[in-house]
Amino acid sequence: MSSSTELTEKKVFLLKSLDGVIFEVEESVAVQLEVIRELIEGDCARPFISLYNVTSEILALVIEYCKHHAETCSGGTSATIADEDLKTFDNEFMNVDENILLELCSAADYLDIKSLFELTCRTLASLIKDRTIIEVRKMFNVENDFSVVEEKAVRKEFAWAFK
Amino acid sequence: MRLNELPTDLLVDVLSRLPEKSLCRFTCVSKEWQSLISSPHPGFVKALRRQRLHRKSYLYIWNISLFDGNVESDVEDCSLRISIVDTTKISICNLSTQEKAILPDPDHLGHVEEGWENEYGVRNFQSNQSSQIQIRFVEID
Repeated sequence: MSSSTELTEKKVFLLKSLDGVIFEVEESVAVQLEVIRELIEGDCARPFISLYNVTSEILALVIEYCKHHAETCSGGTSATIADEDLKTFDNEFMNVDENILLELCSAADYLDIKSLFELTCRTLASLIKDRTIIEVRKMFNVENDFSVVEEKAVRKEFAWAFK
Repeated sequence: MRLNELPTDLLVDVLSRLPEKSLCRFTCVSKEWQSLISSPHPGFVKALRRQRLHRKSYLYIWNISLFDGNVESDVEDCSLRISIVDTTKISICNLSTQEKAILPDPDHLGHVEEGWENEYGVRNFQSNQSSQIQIRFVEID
């Protein structure tokens, strides 16, 4: 390796998922994971990082998300075009089933990727916002522990929200 | 993972992004949800604060004892300015009448930044017999 190519060579990290699959990512992608950025800044980042809470299926998606965001932000496009592009990408990216969405939300929390965490929480919120009480109980497997009288009182208090 | 496996802190994060109407409705889901949404759960207040920059309206429910028990009950749907005076005082000002009040010893003020000030449209500004006040704020753009 000559020193001149070394200068332009990009630093890469190997991320290992819970189920042992290894992903190679460039530094620009890795730093979007706040947990890794902190390691790099603290000079504690080894080239090989095990992520114990994320499966390969989810990690692949997370990396796809971070890669797209890193590329869009570093590309020469104007801020408004980049913004539009990210919005379109995010919308399509959230077009996954409920379970994947939950896994992504939990992974974004664990890996500390703020924009992905915000995106998944918002998407989950919009998924449930128009549901009825009974549907929500069913979705979250929550038992109704109000007595008939208590539930009536709570419903009365928030009567305007049921209109 | 299923929705019923969502850890409480993540559930709080999701709930805090719901519009006011859904949130009020969901207090009827269960006692746990009711207390998560309206007690307010410290994590819930924190989650609301964290995303204050990201959205235009949100719900705040505080149960605070009223200073000498007297805030007009007809302030429903008015605009209020809420200021955090210092770490022990919240002042509220009714923008239409310019009436001011200081709310005493709110339990949850520790989660709010000192010097913070904002204006809200207020709905369901009500006090009940136990001189507790419940305020739901909708931030004005």
